[in-house]
Order: sequence, then C-alpha cells, then structure tokens
Amino acid sequence: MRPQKTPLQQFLHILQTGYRYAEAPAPDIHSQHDVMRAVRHIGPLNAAPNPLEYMNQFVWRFASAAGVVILALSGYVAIIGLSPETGVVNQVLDNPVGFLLMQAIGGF
Amino acid sequence: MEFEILLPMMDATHESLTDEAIARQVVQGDVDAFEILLRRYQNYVLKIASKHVPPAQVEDVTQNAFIRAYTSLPTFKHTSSFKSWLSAVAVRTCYDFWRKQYRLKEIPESSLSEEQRQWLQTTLASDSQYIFQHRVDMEHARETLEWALNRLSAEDRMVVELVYLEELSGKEAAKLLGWSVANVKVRAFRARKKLQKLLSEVLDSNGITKRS
Repeated sequence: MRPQKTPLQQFLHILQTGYRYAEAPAPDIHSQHDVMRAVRHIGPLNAAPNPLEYMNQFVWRFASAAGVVILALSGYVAIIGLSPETGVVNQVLDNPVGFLLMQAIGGF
Repeated sequence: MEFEILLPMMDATHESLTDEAIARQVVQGDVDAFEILLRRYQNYVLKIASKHVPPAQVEDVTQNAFIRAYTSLPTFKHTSSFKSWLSAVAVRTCYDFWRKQYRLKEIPESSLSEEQRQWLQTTLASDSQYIFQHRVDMEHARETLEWALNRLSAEDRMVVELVYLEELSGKEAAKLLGWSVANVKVRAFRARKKLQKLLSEVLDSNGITKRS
C-alpha cells in the first residue's frame, strides 16, 4: 500500500498536472509569414557584416579585460603616485644638458 | 509568374534535405530555406512556448524564438541535432520573456481567487488520485500553477519548470538554459524550497493542516 501523500505533495502534484495540461495553439500560417517577413528584413546571413557592428562586438569583447587593467593602473597610481614623471620633468627643466648626457650614457 | 512556379519546386528540393543541410544553406545566404525549418518545427516550438509562457504570449514568443534562431544560426555547431539546438533557443527566448516581464513589473500580484481556493480545498480534501477528468479542473490547476510561479523570479521559474515539472536532469536543463550544471542544481534546490514555503503558506491560510 502506497503511503498517503501530504497536502504539500498533493499540491505539487496538482501543479505538475497543470503544467502538463498546457495546450499549444495550432500552427498559424500568418505567424509563419510574419516570421519570414522579419527574417527577410534581416537579410541573408552571409552578407558582409556592418563594420561598425563588428567593431562594437570586438570592443565589448575586451571590456572586462580593459576594466581590470584600468583598476590595476588606478591602484598602481594611487600607491606610487605620479611623482616619478614629475621628477623626470623637473630634472629636464633644471639641468637639460646633464639630463641628455645621462640619457646618452644610459643613466636613465 | 515564373517565380511562383519555381517556388514549389524549390520547396520540394529542400524538403528532402536534413535539417542540418538546410541550416547550412541558410547560413550560406539562402533566406527562403529557413521557411522549411520554420514549417517543420513550428509545432514543436509552439509546444515548448506553451509550457513556459501564458497562452496569450505563446505565438509572439514562438515568432521571437524563430527570429532568434535565424540570427543565431551561424553559431549552430552541428555537434548536436538542429532540433535540440532549436529547443535551447526556444527555452532561452521564454526565459528572456520572463526576465523582461519581471523587469517591467508586469507580473500580476493578485492572490488566489475565492473560486480557486475552494477548488483547491475540494481537490486536496478528496483522497482521490487526482484524475483530472474535467477541463475546468485542468484549467484551475494551470491557473494555480501560474499563480505560484508568478511569485518566483524568472530564473527560479525556469528551473522549477524544467527540473521539477518537466523532470529534466540538471545537465539537460543546464544545456537548455546555457547555465552551468552546478548553477542549475543550486538554483533548483533553492527554488524548490521557495515554492514549498509558498505552497505551505497557502495551505496554512486555507486551514489545510499538514499530514505526516
């Protein structure tokens, strides 16, 4: 003898029955025409892709990587600061000849 | 005129081809060949859509699924059958339908109607095997199901339908939805808990005590 179902199990069974009951409408020729109209509007799939659309896809493909690089660089700048560049510029302005000489002999 | 004569001949040539061969032709630029696939699978996609979306939306969702299938056809890798690929496209279109509905907040918040409550009480009270012989019983069951599913998120709804109502395996559901198997299993477990809690509340509010 099978154990009696709890009300919850019965309820779930009712829902399953409701799910199986779903009736599909009959195929409609107008619906087919609508789909084909839309498909023809899109055009052949082998047509040359729109370069802008292609670029859009290409750019977005690297969006996550670009985000990570931006975050890493932001972190780097936050820690190191922009002082190294400022230091080099100061040196060029203060002693241009010495700076060029140092560059030539590989000081920088 | 000549074109009209040629069209049935072209259809006859296409009809003998496999789905995969037609799909290849469509990808190569033969737009009209897609109509053969549309005719072959319209019923099949209608059936899938009718299980996942409200009756009034079935036709629109089916059309969207075919348009999506057309635009996605270059991604069809021929590793599985066209039919199973198309069923995944159809299920994902249904999922997108629900995501949009939830985003637009077009999900009815109404509670069970008095008629539904009475029907539910009568059905649960009778210890029969729930043989739904009457159309009205089936309709009530469907309405009650819709009411319950409307209280879940789009993701939970799809998982409950595929895993618990359609009784697909986690792997099959994952393939249809394009999710990982682990994601499907975790979500299915949580969604089932939510559904059980929801149904228990209904039972409690209707004074139907839990039998052990």
